[in-house]
Amino acid sequence: MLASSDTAQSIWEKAKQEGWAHSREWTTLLHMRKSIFGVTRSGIADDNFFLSQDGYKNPEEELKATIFSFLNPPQREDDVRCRYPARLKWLKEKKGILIAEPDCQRYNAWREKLAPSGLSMIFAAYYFNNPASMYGHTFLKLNRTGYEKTDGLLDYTVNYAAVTNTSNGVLFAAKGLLGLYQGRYSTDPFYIKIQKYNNIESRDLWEYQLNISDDQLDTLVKHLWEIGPYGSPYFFFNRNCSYELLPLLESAFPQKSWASSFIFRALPVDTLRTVVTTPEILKAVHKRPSHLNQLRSQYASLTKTERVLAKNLSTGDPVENSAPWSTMSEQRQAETLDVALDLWKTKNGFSRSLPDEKKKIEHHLLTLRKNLPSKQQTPKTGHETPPHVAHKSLFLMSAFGANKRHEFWDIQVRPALHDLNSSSNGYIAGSELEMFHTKIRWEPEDSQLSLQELRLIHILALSPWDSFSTPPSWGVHASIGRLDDLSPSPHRATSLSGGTGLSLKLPGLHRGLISAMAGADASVGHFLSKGHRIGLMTKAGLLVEWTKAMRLNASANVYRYVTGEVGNRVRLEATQTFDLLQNMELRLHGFRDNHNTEGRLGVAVHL
Amino acid sequence: MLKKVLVAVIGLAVMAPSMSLAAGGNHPMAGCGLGYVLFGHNDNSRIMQILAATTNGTSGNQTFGMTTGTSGCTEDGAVKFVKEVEVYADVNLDTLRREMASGQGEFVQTFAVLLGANDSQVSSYLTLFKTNYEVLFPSSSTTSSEMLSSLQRLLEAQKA
Repeated sequence: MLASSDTAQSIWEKAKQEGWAHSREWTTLLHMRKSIFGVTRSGIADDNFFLSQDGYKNPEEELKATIFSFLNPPQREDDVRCRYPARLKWLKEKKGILIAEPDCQRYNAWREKLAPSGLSMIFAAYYFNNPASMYGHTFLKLNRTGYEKTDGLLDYTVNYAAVTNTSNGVLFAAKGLLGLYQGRYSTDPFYIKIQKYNNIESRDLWEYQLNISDDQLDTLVKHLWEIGPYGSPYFFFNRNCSYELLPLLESAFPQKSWASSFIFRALPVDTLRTVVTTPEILKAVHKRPSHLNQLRSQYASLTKTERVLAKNLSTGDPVENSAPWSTMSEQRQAETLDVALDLWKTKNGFSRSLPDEKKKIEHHLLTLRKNLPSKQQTPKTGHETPPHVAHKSLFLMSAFGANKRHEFWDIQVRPALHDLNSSSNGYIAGSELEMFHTKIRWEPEDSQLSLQELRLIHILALSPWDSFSTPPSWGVHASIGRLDDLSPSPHRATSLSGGTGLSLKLPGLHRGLISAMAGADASVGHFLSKGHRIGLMTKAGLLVEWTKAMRLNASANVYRYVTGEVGNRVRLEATQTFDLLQNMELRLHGFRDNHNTEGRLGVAVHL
Repeated sequence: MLKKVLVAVIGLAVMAPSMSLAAGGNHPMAGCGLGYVLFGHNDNSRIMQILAATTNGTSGNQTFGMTTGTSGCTEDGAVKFVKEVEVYADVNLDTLRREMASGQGEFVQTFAVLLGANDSQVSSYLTLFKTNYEVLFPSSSTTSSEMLSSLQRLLEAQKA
């Protein structure tokens, strides 16, 4: 156990000679990545993480500083060897250097609480009626030794999120997009995540158990301790909750290169896919359904009479005094009461500041319930597609089309995420979310290549009414592009529209949905009379899934522009899509917008 | 294990009188306020949910951040052993309130394990909770600290 700078120097010489600093085992501990210009930089933006001045860009300097300070540790309360247990482990165990190990009380106390013995990657699926949540969210879960019989509720999770203090919504969103928040790792118990995601936000939690050896897990947890105190700017598009789990995972799997595929955009569903489709890494997949989905399956198991009783109970009707109730067996009463309690919860939410009369209803139901027998544990069913098999997030389409005047070729690129024409497996049925969807058009007769449309953002949430709720359907759209009803005008306008309405499921038709919305539509463009037009909009839509691989999306929009370029407009549109492969579609699309008609046939791929 | 737990619950009982002064709802400081942070405000309006999609952050996540050192209930982001029961009961109070009445469920089972039950004892704990439900949750506004005090008295009576 020598500790002298001579020894450090000779070790450093050896390290340099053998190229230790360039091994993945070392560079993954520094989160080194190549930028698009080929420059090597650490992903960790906090200088305090590094022991050397140039450590953030020079893995050799950082290794040298680490070796020297481990062998001659500066006198500090938080010893450098305790701050960097993964680096210590690698140098001691894998490189055979003799380094004295102090008693790392803080690290040991923390480790004792986590007691990790296994690893899962968890995906929180979407919120109902919130298309933006289709991106999902990922975090890790560490199985906790000694609590194997508790379904993981007491396991600790590893979550990377922006540390926000703003409760103002718009500011919240803007700062997240612009990197104005710091991101940090946190380790909450899993039960907190269940309450937040399964209950409050009504999202399914998909648990992907990973194959990881004890040694690999040990390195991961040690590395988590190393990076825990340091943050980086949080960017919604790429340096986000899901991206930052990848360098952490790579510390345990240094031969994998998961993080390097995510430079400009890191969607949680994509990062999930990258990890869990790695050969031999996935052990099992298990779904923990949201509160709403649990209610749906339990409601479905009640008879028609019981459903009515459950609804009445949930609003405070003294059903227990009624005749139908008294003829029911205790088991059926218990089932009905449980559904009534779930209905009550869904209606009133999870807030703790409910008015007293609402709370008294629940209390009364529970008083009835306690006298009835416990049920068999209902198995968590549901045969939905796991999220990682949903179609990929980058969309490219090439289409050939014609209108009255000429023929054209369109090329479309969309970085995210999903439209109604694609299979909704793994996404929310009836929802659309598009960001920066770009359509370029080539007109061969005029040799003209131009931007036809840039859809900045397009969101559509068609949430059908059901037995429990009557949610609004809504949509928002912002784009720069040519106006189809004013074709052949080549000029582009900036448009904004939005509306709200309702949707209903169509019985008989598989996944059939009809919708009706009303709202407003506005455009600004110098070529328009008075430079703009603003009007009212009504829209009716029809979605039909003929088979799993064939879909129709049709709509009729009626506009009445009342200022600027006034006039009426009727747009009828339909797209018939055929899935050719998992991530490839054939689309037949046509519209008639006032007197202008257009038809296109194209092939789309998801990458 | 049971001794460790009784220490925690006793500690709470001493403070319980002042905590139960809070009218209705759960006292914000029970369980270090984690239940309050999660369920207290109505920040889950649809608009907020949509806008929060860009950060996936919550204002309460500093508690479990690994930079915070030692605070009331956590050390470096993990719950202190002596506080585990209190934090668990506070965060999961609404679920426990239901599962203790029905006598089954993963949250109430986990609670029994946290209180020290081994495999063979879990079902007797669940029966205990269900039989004594009205003592544990006498009103619609019973707080987690009140429930834990009642529970502690119940467990002590069992031992006697």
